[in-house]
Amino acid sequence: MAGIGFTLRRLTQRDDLIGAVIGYGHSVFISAGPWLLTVLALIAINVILTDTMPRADLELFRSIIVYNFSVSLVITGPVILVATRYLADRVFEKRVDTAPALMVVAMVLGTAPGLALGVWFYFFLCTIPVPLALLALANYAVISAIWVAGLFLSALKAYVRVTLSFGAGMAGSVALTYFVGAAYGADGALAAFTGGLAVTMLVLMATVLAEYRYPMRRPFALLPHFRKHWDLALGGLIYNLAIWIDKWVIWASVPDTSVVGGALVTMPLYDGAMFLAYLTIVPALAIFTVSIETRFFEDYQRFYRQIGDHATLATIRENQESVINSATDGLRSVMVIQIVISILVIFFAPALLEAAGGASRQIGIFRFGVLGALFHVLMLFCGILLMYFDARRPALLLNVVFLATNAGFTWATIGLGFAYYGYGYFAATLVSFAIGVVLLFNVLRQLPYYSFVRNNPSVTGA
Amino acid sequence: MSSDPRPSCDVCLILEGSYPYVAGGVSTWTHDLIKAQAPLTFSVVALTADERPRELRYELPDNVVEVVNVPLRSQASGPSGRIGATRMIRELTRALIEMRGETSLQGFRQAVALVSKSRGSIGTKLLMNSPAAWEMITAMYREDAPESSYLEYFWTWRALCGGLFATLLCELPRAKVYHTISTGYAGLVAARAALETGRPAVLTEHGIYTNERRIEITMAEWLYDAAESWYQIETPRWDLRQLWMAAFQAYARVCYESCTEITTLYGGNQILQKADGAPPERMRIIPNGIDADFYGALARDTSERRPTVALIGRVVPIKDIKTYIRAADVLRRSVPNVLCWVMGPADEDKEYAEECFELVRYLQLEETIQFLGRVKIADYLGKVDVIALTSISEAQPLVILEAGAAGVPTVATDVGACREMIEGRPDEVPALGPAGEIVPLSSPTAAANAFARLLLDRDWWQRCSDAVRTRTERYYNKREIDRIYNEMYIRMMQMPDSASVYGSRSRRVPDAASAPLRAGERR
Repeated sequence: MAGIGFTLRRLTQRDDLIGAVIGYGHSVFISAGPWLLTVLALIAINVILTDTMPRADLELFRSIIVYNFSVSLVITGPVILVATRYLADRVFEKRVDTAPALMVVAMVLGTAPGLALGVWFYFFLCTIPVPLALLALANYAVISAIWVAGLFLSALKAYVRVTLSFGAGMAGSVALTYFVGAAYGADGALAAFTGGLAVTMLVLMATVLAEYRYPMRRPFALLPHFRKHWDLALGGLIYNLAIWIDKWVIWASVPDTSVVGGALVTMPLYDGAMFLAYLTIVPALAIFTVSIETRFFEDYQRFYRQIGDHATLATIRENQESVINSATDGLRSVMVIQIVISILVIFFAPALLEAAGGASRQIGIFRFGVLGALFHVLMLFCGILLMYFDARRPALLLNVVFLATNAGFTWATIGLGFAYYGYGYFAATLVSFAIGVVLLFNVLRQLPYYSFVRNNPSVTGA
Repeated sequence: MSSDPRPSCDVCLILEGSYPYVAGGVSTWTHDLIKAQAPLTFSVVALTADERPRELRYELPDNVVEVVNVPLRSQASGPSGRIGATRMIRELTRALIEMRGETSLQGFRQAVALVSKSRGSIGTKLLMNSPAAWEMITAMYREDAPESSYLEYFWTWRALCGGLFATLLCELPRAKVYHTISTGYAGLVAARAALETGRPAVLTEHGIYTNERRIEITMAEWLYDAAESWYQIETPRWDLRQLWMAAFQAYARVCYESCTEITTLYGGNQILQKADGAPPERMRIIPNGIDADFYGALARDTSERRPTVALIGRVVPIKDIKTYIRAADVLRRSVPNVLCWVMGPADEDKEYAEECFELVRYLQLEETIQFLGRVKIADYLGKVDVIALTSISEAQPLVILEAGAAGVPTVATDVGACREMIEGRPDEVPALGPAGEIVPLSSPTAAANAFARLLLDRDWWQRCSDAVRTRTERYYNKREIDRIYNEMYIRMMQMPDSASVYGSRSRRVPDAASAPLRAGERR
């Protein structure tokens, strides 16, 4: 036979169609866990420590914690998302031997930029004593490391253990602060709190290292993935920025802020009400986690599995319908329950606020905060579902919208006066939720297209 | 409409998976053709499987002005969307569906027109990876194979249509005549060229493309040996191999119907071409020629020597060397001192070669059969009395002609063009008579009898020798074949333009984005 023709095999044999069979660990836990813990810790500090310390010391201590928590969440955001993806890929390949090295590198990457920032901020901008500044830096490093260690435990799907470790760690830290540290002023409180968190960090790290018993190997394997998954990294940064941007805008713009230590500007009235409002989404997180892990995940897996099992297009379409239905049902039931809860909370806002040690001036902010938290969590679910389908660009777009609206609307509504503080956040989450729904259903409607073409590395050559 | 630019070359050769990057029969033929037509200038469109850089296997002759590489599979390129893309792709879908079956050419013509109209603003990103393209795949799936595995259909579609789009999107050299050396994707490029430029296209087929693909696909277990699945058990699987074949047959039909002349090496191929839709009135046989002067000048060794039979070919199963060995065993009884040579390398299929050596030992033929390995046959032809060719498959084996020019008759099996060369074509006037004998496949006794007759009957041998000498000189002389091609090219180049898909007689070959590879720039 003449030289014409080439092997057909090369033209057809591709096996890596389904890159998204695994959930990529985009659990509610990773998305909302650190955020919720931050909120809990700050509320606990507000409620429990109020009468144990001099007001000035408490303000200083609280402000440092708020700064550290918020900045660490933003800066570890990209590292956590990229490391999560990298780890999920390795788990899928059953090659997790690089996990211990990965954790160390991720911790360094997640902590170092913030530490540099912290040195500049605490030593040069703030007027706090050097020991306190050093403690603040230590606290920053520990909390960043905790966020990173948390992702590794979430990847193990050891949710109960993570929750217990975190919960006990935070409770212990607060208790230590309350019983020991508070007596020694801001330094004592920060030392005690950081000490408690450091123990938590060590426990979490030990758990991870006990789970992945491998030597430190190929420590720089993670780095190329920042380029490969730049959209994930950017999304992680932007989402965490968006969560805090309304506070930062408020801190920077409104007249009645609290300024301690020279540069630590906060707005306790706004922040406190918002943190409390965030707590109302806990039921939604629980319900969503359950509905995702059960019915939705089954439909989701069947969709991909049957494609590989040579289903016809008709079957693929049916499975797509099931995925859409279970996603819709899941979102709807969360929405119904959460709306009821939000209405009740808004109705009983004065009593709840009082019980939590808030001021009656905060009621307006708190109510907007509760409404905002409602749509915020629903938007977050849209984002998580988008990540399940590896629709990284739509997810990134959603985060950008949230960041832009939260900053823009908050800034624009400040002029309306104190009564409208929080309105910007509410409006931003409402708009973002609407856009999230559109983006999500746009992907769900084109799910086969996304699976075969758009998200298929064999097709796109990515 | 731009003004009619002068064609940049005379002949555009279109090749798939061969010249100038793959060494082989067709490539060497192409190389010789270009050199032989030297006053004419050529451009070469080389279709390759993918984008990997390839090394030239032939030094491009000076009259090659341009080589255009067209990878059938490449990284998606072009914009991912444009205004009107959805409607355009919907029309393209209809065109591609129409390409199945009898209406192939209408469908292809529409596809060419659609793609030509938007040239520059569409690429594979839009045609294969866009949401609109997805609609095209699903629509064609419903049309082609709604019960089959969608996963498999998807990849099959990408392979088939990816190649098709490559032929529609690729840069086309300007030429006065387009000459494709196969159907398939190369045939589509030629058909597109004819439709777009209004210049004639001609086809020369060595092996029949659809037939070769049929063999390849039939043997390709891998196509659908995917893991057992729940789906397979419930429904009998629709075989996507049919889709591959249907597509290649459609491509062949498009090419046959677009070409002004359809030539092949021998009559046997024409039966297959007709079956795939080639119009008989455009079909023509142009065999391969040999240097008759050189082989005709070889002197016969008239000294006292053993009567000698020679098989010139590689020691591989397709040449059926074992039948030749058994024939030697039979022949030895009537011609005891016969010498049987096998001239060709034995290292290609070592296992088979070993079996052959074993058979020689078993039949105690060590004195009769000699394996000479790779030799220059011109050094031996003078000492050979009969050429043997026991192959189970051949196209147009030139060895019959090379020996024939030297006056050596051949005994061959009835494969490829052997009968035409040995008994003469039906239209041979005057009939020159037999140049040896045709024997059935794998029949040692028949072959041995034919050998014996030629070795023992001097008169019969002389008649055959004269016949084959004359026939080769007259019909298979390379000078003559070169003249036939030259005459064909000149005739085609002088043909007026026919209507192009642009709806006018103007020839408008748009400049493609990528710069062509100039022959002079090569090392």
